[in-house]
Amino acid sequence: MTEALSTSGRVTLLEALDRLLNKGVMINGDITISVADVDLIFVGLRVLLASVETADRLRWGIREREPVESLP
Amino acid sequence: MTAAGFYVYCVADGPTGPTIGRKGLQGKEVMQVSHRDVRLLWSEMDAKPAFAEGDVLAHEAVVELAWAHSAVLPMRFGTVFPAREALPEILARLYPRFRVSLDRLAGKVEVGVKVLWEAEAIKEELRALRPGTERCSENLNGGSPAKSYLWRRFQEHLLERGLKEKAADVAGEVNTSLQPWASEAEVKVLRTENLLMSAAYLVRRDRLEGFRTQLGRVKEAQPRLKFLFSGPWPPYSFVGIEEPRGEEP
Repeated sequence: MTEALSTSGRVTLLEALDRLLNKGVMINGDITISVADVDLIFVGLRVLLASVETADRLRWGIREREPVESLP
Repeated sequence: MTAAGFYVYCVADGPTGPTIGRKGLQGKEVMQVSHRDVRLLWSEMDAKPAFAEGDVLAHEAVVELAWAHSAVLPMRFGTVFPAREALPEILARLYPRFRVSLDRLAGKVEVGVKVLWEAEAIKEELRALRPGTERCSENLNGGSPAKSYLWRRFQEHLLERGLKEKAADVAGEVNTSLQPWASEAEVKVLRTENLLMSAAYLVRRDRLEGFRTQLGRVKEAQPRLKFLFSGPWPPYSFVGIEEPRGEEP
């Protein structure tokens, strides 16, 4: 799946990861895995910020995700 | 087969919502459980989770499907409960907080703004601004190794401080231009040396067009900076519900 991602798809994935792993509702209770564990599982993706900087070498500009255009 | 866990995606406004189908993690049916006027979206998990990128995209897709119809509070990725009974309990326990956040976020989207600069080039410029200290440095280079080591450390410290001050100025300028168009903002400066600014803005849907136009203006006014805009996202950065570890459920 990763290999098939386009550049903008890659950037979208990195942006999504940045949110999903660090933001959102965090409930304490009977959670079986912690955020730290998820970080460990994402060994290949842990260098998120570095990757964002790497994206600098790719084409930059106003990048938007598909849904932007379909908004009312 | 008994489920090994119960994965939760988001809290959504309204007691019921459209059926999402088998679009959950591991291809599972996305289920909904409600309490008063809010609901929780979840699905069963077969085995102990070993998450991959596809799961992140599936989580995001389920949240977006719910978001197309109502305000949502996305869960942090990887929130799994061992017992199904825990799901209505969470809804009931946190209902007042969920309700307040859903009302605050209704009709709003998150826009991501990342701003990059070339930290090395900025440092070069800062060095050039301090010719006096450079001369001083040359004088001291002839001194003892300990003295010159300390001097170098001091110079590095000054440079770091200069970089931080400059970053605060430039990021402040960018933020000042964008903030009036947003309801709320989360801004981090220098998460890494080259990542000058990493921000999320909460924008009303009816102001999104104006915000985008403003982004274009800011980009034009700052030709030395590189911008990455993304969105609109569900309001991940603004849910405001993060129970500290150890808090009594």
